[in-house]
Amino acid sequence: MSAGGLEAEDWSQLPAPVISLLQEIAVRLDRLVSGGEPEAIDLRALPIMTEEDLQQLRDLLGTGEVTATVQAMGATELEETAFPGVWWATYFGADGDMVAERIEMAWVPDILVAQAADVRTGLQQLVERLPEAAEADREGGAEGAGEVPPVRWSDD
Amino acid sequence: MAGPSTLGDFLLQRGISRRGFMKFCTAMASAMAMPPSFARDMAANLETAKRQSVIWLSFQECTGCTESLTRSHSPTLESLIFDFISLDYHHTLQAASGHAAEKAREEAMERAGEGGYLVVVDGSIPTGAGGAYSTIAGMTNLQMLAETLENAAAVVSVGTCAAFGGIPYADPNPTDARSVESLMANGHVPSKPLINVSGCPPVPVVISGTFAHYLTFGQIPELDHYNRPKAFFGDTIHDRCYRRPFYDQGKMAKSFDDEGARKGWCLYEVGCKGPTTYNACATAKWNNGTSFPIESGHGCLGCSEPNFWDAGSFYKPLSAGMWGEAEGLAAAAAVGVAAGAGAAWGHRRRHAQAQEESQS
Repeated sequence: MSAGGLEAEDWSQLPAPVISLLQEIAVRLDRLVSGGEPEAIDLRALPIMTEEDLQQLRDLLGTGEVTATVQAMGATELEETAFPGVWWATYFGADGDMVAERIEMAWVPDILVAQAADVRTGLQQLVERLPEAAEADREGGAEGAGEVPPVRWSDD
Repeated sequence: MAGPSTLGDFLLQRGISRRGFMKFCTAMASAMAMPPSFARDMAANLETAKRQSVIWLSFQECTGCTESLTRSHSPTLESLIFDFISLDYHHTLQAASGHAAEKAREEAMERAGEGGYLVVVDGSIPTGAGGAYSTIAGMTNLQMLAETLENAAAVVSVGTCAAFGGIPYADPNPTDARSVESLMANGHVPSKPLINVSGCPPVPVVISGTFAHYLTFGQIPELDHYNRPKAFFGDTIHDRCYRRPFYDQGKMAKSFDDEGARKGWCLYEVGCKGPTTYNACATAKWNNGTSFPIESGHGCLGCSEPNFWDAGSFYKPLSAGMWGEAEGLAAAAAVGVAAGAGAAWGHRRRHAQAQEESQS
């Protein structure tokens, strides 16, 4: 754990919306560690939260060990807070406008995990190009290059 | 024609990654105020869904509704909705013209069969002079609507013109323009499940979110008393306005460019229709989330409500229109929240009266 989090100075003088959100995070995180599904809190659906409240909440949660940016139709910024499994996720559109902001309670946020359909497509593309590489190798293009090892993959 | 069988396959063909798709679902769930877990269900349902055939009919309209959805800087999440549907007929967007264009509509209807396609209407339908004010390929708009609705699964009226008559319907309504809903009510066109997505134009995410909901669940979302999706039309602009605290404190701009206006106080007294207008502008905003009219210093015109064009001056306070003079103003400022509620009630009552009068 690093900045913020439990080391933040005073947790006794927090505004009400921030306290309720901290409690909600705790409840949902408890569900996750008890074997439940990942959950999220949509921060844009909370009109009672002011910008200051949000910033205070973010400061309190602090920053943890992981930050990640996903580039898919615009950036998604994921920052693990000082509380492992609690992520601050900001979703941007292609023009850089924010389209969603959530606190996610997850082992890994959904959008970070490689998706089976994408992986299958990528694998297919890779395999389709491999004969080219093997061909080049046979023509003695790359000096000292050994044989291309046979690619194996299972069907399932 | 061997097209992709599911939406998931289609997205792959288009090079849209699953992560991009999940982001779309997350953004839609957030915009629709659905629980965040909804994004997961939506992604799972949509991925295996077939692409919905959509026939888009543009009648007495200005193309602003289509512009709203397509002119956001591409590729936006909102415009992704066009990848999720099979848009089989749309005057402005389709490449075909003339006979080929009309044939596309007929073929789409035949291919999809009974209950197989969704109809989108933008624009009102002129019924005066035998429908001669607007015709397409020799058919009046009314004939085309009646024919296309015959086997439709449902109809989405996009924009205030299709939903309530809009500007063509404004007094003196020279073309005898009608909304889709009123034509259904009078039996002029077949009655189908109806969603009104009003606004002049509607907020892009409200259009795409309504489609996304229909595609996800195959049924129409929960609607309000004007058949608008509650997810987007559940609150007034006033309810969600960032200037609302000034209203509650009685801090009002008295004219444009006075001290109150410069301080960003409430625009109620300079004619803002926020308290009686149900729409998502205050949260979804416009121009890629830049702002919405009140944020730019102008009151809400109430464009998503029926008869907004004839609802008195855009620059007179609601209370003045309601009670005939400005004496309600001081009370409104003092009472704050309650006045907003009262104005909304008065507005609905007035609307009901107007409807009775127009039908008699």
